[in-house]
Amino acid sequence: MIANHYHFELMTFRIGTQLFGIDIESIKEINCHLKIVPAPLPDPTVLGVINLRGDVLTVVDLGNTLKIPRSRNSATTDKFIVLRCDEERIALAVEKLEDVTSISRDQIQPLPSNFRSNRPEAYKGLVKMENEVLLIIDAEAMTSPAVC
Amino acid sequence: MLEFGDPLSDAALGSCPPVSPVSSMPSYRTNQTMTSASNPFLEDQELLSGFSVEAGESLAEVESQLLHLEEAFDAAVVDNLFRAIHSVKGAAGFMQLHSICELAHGLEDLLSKVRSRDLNIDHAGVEVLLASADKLRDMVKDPAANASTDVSKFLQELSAWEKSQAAACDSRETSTVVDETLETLEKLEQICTQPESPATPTPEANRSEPLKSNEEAPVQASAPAIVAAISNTPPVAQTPKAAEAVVSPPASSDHPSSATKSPNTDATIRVSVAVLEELVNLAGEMVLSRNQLLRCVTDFRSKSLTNVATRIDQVTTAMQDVVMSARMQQVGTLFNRFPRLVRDLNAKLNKKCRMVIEGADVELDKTIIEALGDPLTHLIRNSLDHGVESPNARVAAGKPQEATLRLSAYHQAGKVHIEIADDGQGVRSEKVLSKAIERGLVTQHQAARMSEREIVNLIFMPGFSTAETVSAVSGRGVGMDVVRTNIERIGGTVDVNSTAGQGAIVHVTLPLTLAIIPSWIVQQDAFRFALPESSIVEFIRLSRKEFTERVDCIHGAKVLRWRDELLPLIRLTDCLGGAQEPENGSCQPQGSATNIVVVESGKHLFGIIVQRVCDPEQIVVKPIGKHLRECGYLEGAAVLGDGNVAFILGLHGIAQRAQLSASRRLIEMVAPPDPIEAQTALLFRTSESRLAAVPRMVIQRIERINTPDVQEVTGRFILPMGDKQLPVIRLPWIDAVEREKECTTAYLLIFHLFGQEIGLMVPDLVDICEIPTSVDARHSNQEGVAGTVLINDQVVEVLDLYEIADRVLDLSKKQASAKAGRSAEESKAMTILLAEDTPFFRNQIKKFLVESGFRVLTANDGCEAWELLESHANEVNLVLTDIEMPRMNGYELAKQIRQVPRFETLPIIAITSLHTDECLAKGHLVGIDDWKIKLDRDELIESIKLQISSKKRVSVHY
Repeated sequence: MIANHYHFELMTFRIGTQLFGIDIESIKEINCHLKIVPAPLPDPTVLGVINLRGDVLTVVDLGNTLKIPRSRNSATTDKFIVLRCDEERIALAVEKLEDVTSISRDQIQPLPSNFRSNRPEAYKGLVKMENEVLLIIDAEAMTSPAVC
Repeated sequence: MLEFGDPLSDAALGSCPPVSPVSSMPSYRTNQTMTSASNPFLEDQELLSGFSVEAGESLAEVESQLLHLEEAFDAAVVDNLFRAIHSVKGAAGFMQLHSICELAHGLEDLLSKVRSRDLNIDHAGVEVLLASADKLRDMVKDPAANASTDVSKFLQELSAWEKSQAAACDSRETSTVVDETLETLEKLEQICTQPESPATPTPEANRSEPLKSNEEAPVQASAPAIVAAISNTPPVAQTPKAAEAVVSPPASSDHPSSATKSPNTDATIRVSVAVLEELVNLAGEMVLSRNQLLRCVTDFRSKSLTNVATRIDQVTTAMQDVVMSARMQQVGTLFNRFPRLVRDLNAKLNKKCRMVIEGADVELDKTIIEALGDPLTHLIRNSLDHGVESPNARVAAGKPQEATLRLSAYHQAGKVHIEIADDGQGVRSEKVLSKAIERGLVTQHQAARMSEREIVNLIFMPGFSTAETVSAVSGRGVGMDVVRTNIERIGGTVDVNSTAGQGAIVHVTLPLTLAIIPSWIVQQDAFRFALPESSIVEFIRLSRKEFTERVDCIHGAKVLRWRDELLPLIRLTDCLGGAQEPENGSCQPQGSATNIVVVESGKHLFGIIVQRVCDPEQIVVKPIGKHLRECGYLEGAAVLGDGNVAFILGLHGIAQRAQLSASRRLIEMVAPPDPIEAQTALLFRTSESRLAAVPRMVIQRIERINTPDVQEVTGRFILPMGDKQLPVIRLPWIDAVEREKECTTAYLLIFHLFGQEIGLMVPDLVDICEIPTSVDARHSNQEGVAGTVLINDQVVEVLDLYEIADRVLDLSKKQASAKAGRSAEESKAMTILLAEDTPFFRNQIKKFLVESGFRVLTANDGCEAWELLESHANEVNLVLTDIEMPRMNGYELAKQIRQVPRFETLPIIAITSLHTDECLAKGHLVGIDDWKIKLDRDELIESIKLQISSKKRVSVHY
């Protein structure tokens, strides 16, 4: 296997205390200073839309989508990770951006059998970090609306 | 493209298989067999599409030019035609697209003869040429697929016409020879243009020779072939003419850029539509950013900055204009197809119609032009099929035999207007109207109030077609509404104006561009929405007072009295997900005034209650993501001038969400005649499993109340309403449910008892529905329950409100008994004949009457009633009859009674569940004195007393 396929980089971020990572290849940009316009929708996972240089992007609340509790300090403003996808771009709202981490593919482990989630397809796997566990999010799964 | 100047040599001729001189086409077939094994050009998509576009452009004008030729011979036009076909042929030859080449060659061949005046072009000739040109145009659209399409049919047609024309020619021999000469030359020319042809030894030498100045040169060059061809031709004098005919086409095609195209062709480049769209998009963004910049700059108060900003402002505006204009196309590109259409239709329909096109240079957005093709085609067909009369009819009507169809485009008030005007018979409004009524599109009542223009425009209603017989051309019954839908989809409107006998004008207005939509911004809760101006009918602002006057609530559904009709109203906030519980029942206005936007979208016409109507704004539509589209009522988004985002409301989705039934027609306030006997009832739940119904006609109105507002005074319940006190009845068995649920709101069904309003409190309403009249009274073991009916297999108790009220309200009971006592005295010895076929009603009404002290004779139908009346002629004081009964109905009974002199003054009261003006008139005619609603006890008894006393007076008087 070619080396650069073997290693890949993850953009890591937090919701509450949980650490997440998304393949940097699927990220188009990161933006922190945009105003969310609420959308009149029944779907609570959609926070609203942002006006990104004239394009209207859906903002998906990752915490709400995955039912991950946010930190109590609600004053932290959302950061937007704009995902590049085939059909459209969407913005994931996350609480705290961390770092870019390089990992190799064999570090990725399947989710434990007792792991329960409302959106199991959203996870690609997990990586054991020094003190905690990093969950890898599948960008593709995020761009399709939750099946209700 | 084709370089006739390319050298010809014996080597080139030698490489070509021998050609039969008899047939005019086979030279290409031989080429085809030579190279068709594998064509490397078919692999090259870019080259193919380049060919397709270029050939398409060359052929674009062919049709109109042929039509022009049909009218008058014009050498310049023939030249143009020849060049167009020739260049296609050349390119196709190079690309080894043999079928295309073959057909183009056939056309070119004929045209060259037309040009040399060897053939006279006539109607049939144009027909044949048009058919071939159409085929050619189809083929170049997808050259790869048509590389080996069989075109022999067209070639045969062409040569058949040629032969027929040639037969008419005197010098047949000569022309044949010339033909053959031409053929040979064409063939040579074709061979020379094959780039891979090895026969190009001295290109420079030949190219440098000016072709026009020396017509000998090509003749010399092809000398062997010509000599071979004309060796058996006696009149040598013809040869120069033939040579001339051959020379000129290549001469012109030698300089294609100067001769075939206008000089500015060099100044254009092809840009893909996607790039252009992106540019438009970015320009829109630029405008928005500029607006924001200007706002910031004014805060800074720096002169140099202001100057820069102003400059950016100007440049941006200019840029936006330019980018927008890049998408514009002349409407002529579309209009040019219609003369052909009219010509074909003339032939098909045996009509004579001339087409006049005006304003072909008016520019419209490309997308709009594309979308306009079908609707305009349909409208023109319609004009010719229905509007324009046959030539004889026209002469009879004193009009010129030839009709004129004028298609014009012009700018006005920022919109493009297109008119299709014919001088035919116009739209016959009385025919339209009767058809519309017949189809149930409008009611008689509505029709009476319609203006001529409104009637004519009924042709755009779905499911309308006036064509008496379905013709191949138009009149399939789906046409005009599709036209309207298509035009409205691109933000336009369509309207017909017709003068009987003088013609009709179809008027289409279109926006200049689709990229920017004029809209109104409305606000609801935290959201802002854009409503396209084209879908807004009007804005209505109701004050609190007007709201209570004009808005009615039917089981939670609000309707607005709007121009004599009832307009469904929906609250925008109820339709949006994530909003609070829909507040269904309340008919109270929110705040001091209510803003209603009346909108129309396809099948729906309704009013939307919004919080605030903001400004009109020109919006640039942005697509929205899957998550947002999923809800169905958001169609897009727009970035407003202040950088905020507004959502574009999909009216169809909103209508669906509000569960509006798909009907454009409004409910008329006058109830339609309803001959079928049925009772409308309000359904409500009395416990988890039990449903109860009360007749709708008994209820005056429904109010939504807060249960704590109802106060208990010595065992009775009173609801303060303004300065009045409303007695409230609480059903004991309903109360239990209510307490269990801890409801804080309830509904009051308000009805009249002895002129007093009384409210029955029910926890919630289920439905309004038709209930069968077959009420089964056997199972009514509970007081206040008149009987039971089955609705959707569920047993529903029909309540007797009067009995409940009598029992629950002491006071009213006293009143009732006092009144009843009085009534009993008054009505002593009064006998009423009651004819009613439904046992439930018969028993109920009989109960009322007996309670009021009357003697009652009951009959199951008119016949029985008549028999009873005859046998009790001296006793009966009044007849109370139902209308719908078996054997003999109420009208017949009344009529029969009135025919007997002694019953002339006998009061007859009709009892129905619903009555209309029509029924009243009919009843009056047969002698019915009054109409009453079946279960409205008070009214009925009052009426009986009134009738009896007045008749008494009358009879005394006599």
